[in-house]
Amino acid sequence: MQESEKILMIGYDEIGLKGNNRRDFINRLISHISHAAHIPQKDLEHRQGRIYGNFSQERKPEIFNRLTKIFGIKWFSEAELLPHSYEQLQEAALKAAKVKKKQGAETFKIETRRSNKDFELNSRQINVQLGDEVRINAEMQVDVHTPDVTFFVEVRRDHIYLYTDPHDGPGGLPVGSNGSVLLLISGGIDSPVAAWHLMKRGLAVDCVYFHSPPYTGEKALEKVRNLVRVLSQWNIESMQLFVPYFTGIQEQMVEEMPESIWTVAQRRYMHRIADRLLERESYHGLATGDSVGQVASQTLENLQQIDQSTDTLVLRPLTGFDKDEIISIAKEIGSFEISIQPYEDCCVLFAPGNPSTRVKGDRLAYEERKLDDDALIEEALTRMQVENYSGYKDQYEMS
Amino acid sequence: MERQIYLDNNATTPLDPAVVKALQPYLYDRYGNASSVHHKGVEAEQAIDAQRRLIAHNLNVSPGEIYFTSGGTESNNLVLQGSVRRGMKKKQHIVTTAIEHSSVREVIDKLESRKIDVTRILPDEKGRISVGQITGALREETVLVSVMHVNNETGAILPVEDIGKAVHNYNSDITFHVDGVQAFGKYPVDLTYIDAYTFSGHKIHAPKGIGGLYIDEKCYVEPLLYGGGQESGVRSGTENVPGIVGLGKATELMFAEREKMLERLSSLRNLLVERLDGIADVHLNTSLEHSLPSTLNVSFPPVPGEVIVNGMSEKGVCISSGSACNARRKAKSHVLAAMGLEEKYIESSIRFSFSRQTGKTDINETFETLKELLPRLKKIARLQS
Repeated sequence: MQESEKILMIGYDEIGLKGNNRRDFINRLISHISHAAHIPQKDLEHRQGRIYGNFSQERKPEIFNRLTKIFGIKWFSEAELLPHSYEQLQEAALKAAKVKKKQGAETFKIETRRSNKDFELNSRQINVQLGDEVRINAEMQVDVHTPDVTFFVEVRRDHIYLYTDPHDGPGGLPVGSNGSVLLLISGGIDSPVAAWHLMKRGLAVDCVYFHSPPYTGEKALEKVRNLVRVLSQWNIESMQLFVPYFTGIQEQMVEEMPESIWTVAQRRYMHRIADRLLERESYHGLATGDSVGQVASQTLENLQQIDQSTDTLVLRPLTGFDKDEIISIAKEIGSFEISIQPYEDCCVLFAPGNPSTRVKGDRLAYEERKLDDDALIEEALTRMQVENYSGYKDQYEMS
Repeated sequence: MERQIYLDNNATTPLDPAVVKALQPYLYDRYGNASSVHHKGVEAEQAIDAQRRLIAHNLNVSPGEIYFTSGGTESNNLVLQGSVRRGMKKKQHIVTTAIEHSSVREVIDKLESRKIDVTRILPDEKGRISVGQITGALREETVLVSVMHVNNETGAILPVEDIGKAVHNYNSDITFHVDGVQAFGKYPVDLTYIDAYTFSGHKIHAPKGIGGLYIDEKCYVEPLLYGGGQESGVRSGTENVPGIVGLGKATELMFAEREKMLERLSSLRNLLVERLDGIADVHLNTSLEHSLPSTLNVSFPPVPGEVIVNGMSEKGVCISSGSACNARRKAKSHVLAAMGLEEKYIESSIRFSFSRQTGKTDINETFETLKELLPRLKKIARLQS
């Protein structure tokens, strides 16, 4: 028998997709797969609720690795492409079963779906006949509950597809399908996880990091760059990093304002600067890694004061997450090891010993009038660095 | 960034052009493996042997007592781990100081967790450790004494020759190890009473990734790495030939210019101290009489040392707060803490470290930059209660 043809099979979650929405979703997903996994668009095709792709075997590890980071993909697998012939299906299944047996699999099940009703056997008949064949000739036991291996058979209009071991994709929606946000990134554990959740829900994310040399060092900025490099892999196209100059604001704040309100005041200035970028770059909203009640700035009272500094939507996807849940996602996406490097994103000089958990709005308004805000915000933006990280391309380059 | 002033030479040093020139052929044409029998191998072997003789000559020991390693950390690990026997029923005891480099400290901490007794000697407020403090800690079961020659953070010189003599007087079976990384090539050493001496290439204008260890022929050190039996079986692994040639050349240059360099660095350091004296609240953490002139550790409370380092870096001046390795771990200097310094001095300490390549202009410009930077930082730091 000649070597059968292998094809990449990608499944997505269709729930909630209708009409134009659905077309946009699929087109976007195909273009993301093409871009991130370097498969030409002409080799990718959408048929009957699946995306199929032609690929060369030697690129398989690389392609599989990238598919795990494309939001919108529910699962993927390499499938054997067979003609509508039960004999050929049986031969291929037996061959696959023998390989699995050699690798140590003892139990199996067959799971058939038939959308081509013209085929000689129905799903149940295929399950039974093929099951007997594998059981007898590959000497494996049937176990329909927790099999070591499941053989998936899909009898479709064009071909029969046979595959095992589908890999999980990250799920969610293709990045950008729901718009774009600007995330305030700090270098800590939370904000990268927030970015990941936002991207998962179809938002394209760019980041803004507030740098205050010499109070925060080049190493702290480098740490943020490394986080953005990791995150940009999920963002498909590229991820921008804005680095406004925050020193002027902090220095004047320390001189003019009482220590207890520094935390909230700094956050308000950050949001105001981010808001200026939002207007300029047309993001749909801001986002932060806040979860409620972790630190002083995250009391509801203080969050409210922070939000009142702009008219913009602020998304906080981690509200309601426990720290250990955040950490476990950070580990999964590879940001944790970077985040725990000991370079602080805020110098100890600007972190009050005893921050207020309930700063009043009129107090803030009064204190903020003491600062030359417009000029300071302008300076933060004029002295801003803008950097761009594009997915996998920048991972190994040195600046 | 146009200007570059590098005063962080205790962290690492720039390569000397003469070192580059010496090792370059071994990156290209002379690529042989010293273990090979053919002429390419012989060529490499000859180069290694020549450097071994050169270093041995400068240290006044025999070539067979010099071993090449990947650097200071490996040398320290090799001698410390290799001279304490495993699985001994008898109690074993180590004497060391509280101001050692992490590559000694961490190994000894590890040995301590294996039920080996450790005594750590504290320095006085000037960073000094006396012979009497060491001998006072010796016991019948003491197997190892490890003391650094020159401290990386303060530049303090420890009396290792006298300590060695006293230790051997007490019990000649004790292995006396000296971490000489910051002293090698800069400060003379007599190895008569020293059993093992660590040195490193990149602190003396040779490349990173090469270092060495003197081990007295009477001492047995269990290897860390087994394999092809290179370096008389003490350190297996294909020799880093270009590194070794670079280390040899760097050693030659350092020893030839040592006295002149010490004299020059001494006057440079005095100049800096003199000028710093005009700044309010300056605190010297380095004792000028008892230290190598290539290091000056000072504090400017209440400004955090790290902020000064960042601010100087923006202006093109590289200095350090604490030791470079410590800065990464965000640990407060264990050296300054051991000296009993007040917290405010520890947190605000910075280190200038000079090399053969440092000049008067570097010192003056560094001072001017610092003078300009400090008032602004002090104002902000003071406002924080």
